[in-house]
Amino acid sequence: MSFSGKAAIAGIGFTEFSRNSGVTTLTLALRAIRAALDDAGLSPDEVDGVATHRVSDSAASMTVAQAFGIRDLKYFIDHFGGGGSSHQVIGHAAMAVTAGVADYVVCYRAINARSAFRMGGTGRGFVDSPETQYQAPYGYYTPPQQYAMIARAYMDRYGANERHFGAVAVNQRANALLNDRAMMRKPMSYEDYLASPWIAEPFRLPDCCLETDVGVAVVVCSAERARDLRQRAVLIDGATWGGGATLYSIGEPDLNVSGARHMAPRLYRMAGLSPADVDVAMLYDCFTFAVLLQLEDYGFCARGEAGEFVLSGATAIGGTLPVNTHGGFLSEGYAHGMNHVVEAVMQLRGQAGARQVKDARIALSTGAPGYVGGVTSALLLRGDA
Amino acid sequence: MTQVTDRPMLPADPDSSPYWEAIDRGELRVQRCTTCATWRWPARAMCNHCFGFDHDWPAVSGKGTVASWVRTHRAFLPQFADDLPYVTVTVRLAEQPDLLLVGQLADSHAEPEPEPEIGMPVRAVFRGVSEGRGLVFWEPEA
Ligand SMILES: [Zn+2]
Repeated sequence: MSFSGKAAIAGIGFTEFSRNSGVTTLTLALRAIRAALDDAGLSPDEVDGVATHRVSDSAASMTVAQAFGIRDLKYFIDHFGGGGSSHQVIGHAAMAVTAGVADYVVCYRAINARSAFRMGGTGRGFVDSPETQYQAPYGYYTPPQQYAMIARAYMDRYGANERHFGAVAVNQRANALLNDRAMMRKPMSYEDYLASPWIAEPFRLPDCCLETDVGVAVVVCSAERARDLRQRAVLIDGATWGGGATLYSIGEPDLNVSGARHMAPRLYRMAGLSPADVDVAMLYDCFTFAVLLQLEDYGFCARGEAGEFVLSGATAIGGTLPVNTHGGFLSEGYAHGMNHVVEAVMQLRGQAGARQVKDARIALSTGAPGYVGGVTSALLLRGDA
Repeated sequence: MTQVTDRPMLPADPDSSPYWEAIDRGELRVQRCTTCATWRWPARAMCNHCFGFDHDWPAVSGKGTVASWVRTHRAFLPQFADDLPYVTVTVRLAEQPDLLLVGQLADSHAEPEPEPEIGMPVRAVFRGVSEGRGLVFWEPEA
């Protein structure tokens, strides 16, 4: 039995994207959840499930439940994990409402990722990974370094170059200019991109996601219930999570194979869809290179061809597969996965304004592809007829 | 280049301590399954090929190739601020294609450090052993 098409996203909410929220992550979570409930037309006292993922940097799901005064919470998940887990949380909620465990599950991600807790940066100890002890003595430890290592191998193997990385960054900046929420509203040309400083070669500053203080939430319930609520229901046709080998774990000699590559066929199978059915894609863009890789992992082009695919304009709004129409983590902000889901929902509802993709019916939204930490997750969403 | 003794060293754990004890003696040893001879990296209790727990720690050839590299321009770790920009490599050991070790080239004083070539043969050399805190580095094979 599959839960495909039986659960839906009924509400979306977010706080401001900023560099210094000035409030706790609990406050960010509560504001985003209240906004999502208002969007759905639900009363806060109807919430009976709370779900999140975090890396010791946010309010726990039980803390949020207590703030809502829930005395008999029917479902919660408080998953330890980064971007690879972001879409898994929604998949879990979809299973819970389909199984009748809970009626309305709020899924959120709240982080002060710029003002308090920088990923891999200052203010943080070393991550709990069996690999770190072998890497830190060589000054190698942070996500931009880890992804740059894979990107270099990809360039060497397929002849990819800075034009391809730059095209991703420039395309997403153009999209962000159409998005009021976006943090980066200044136009960026390819020349601007080339003139920007290196972070970890081959990545320049605009190849790297923003660090953001933000809360983002969605409400998950059964498709049936969602149809009685305020907004057009967005059905969860596919929700898969998995992963396996990381870059330095045992068993994967190919630096350019991610967990997403193994998982993608299972996602399409669950939804009864193929890559050709996808109208718009929000691909986890911790770094520009991750977008190229996932265009291949999720079957939109052959290995080594993603760079030319982006340069052709295919991923621009108006192209055959618009990608990260909100500007993504590179230009909207970094909600550790959840803002991709919210943008996918807006596109499928026809609420994306100037960046609306015409007749968007099917959206793919993905979590981190699984290089770092090993896990990955993704959703295939469908706008209700 | 930051001295070995000034680098961030995390505590070894019971799985990894044989690796670090060997490194401190100037030996590169990697865990290997004594049932099916599959190498394990990073160190852990069980073989992911035959699921056996028995293992030994043979010395490896110290030969490998550069699988990839990155040049870091930001002081993510303050100990490396004076080295910027510095190159970190991933070395694929000759013993098994999925033995991928992070490291650095030895004694590079050129600024900026030259770009390593992917596929370039390298061999292990040790620094810091005489100071009681060893670390493996990589030298291009002549
Ligand atoms: Zn074995």
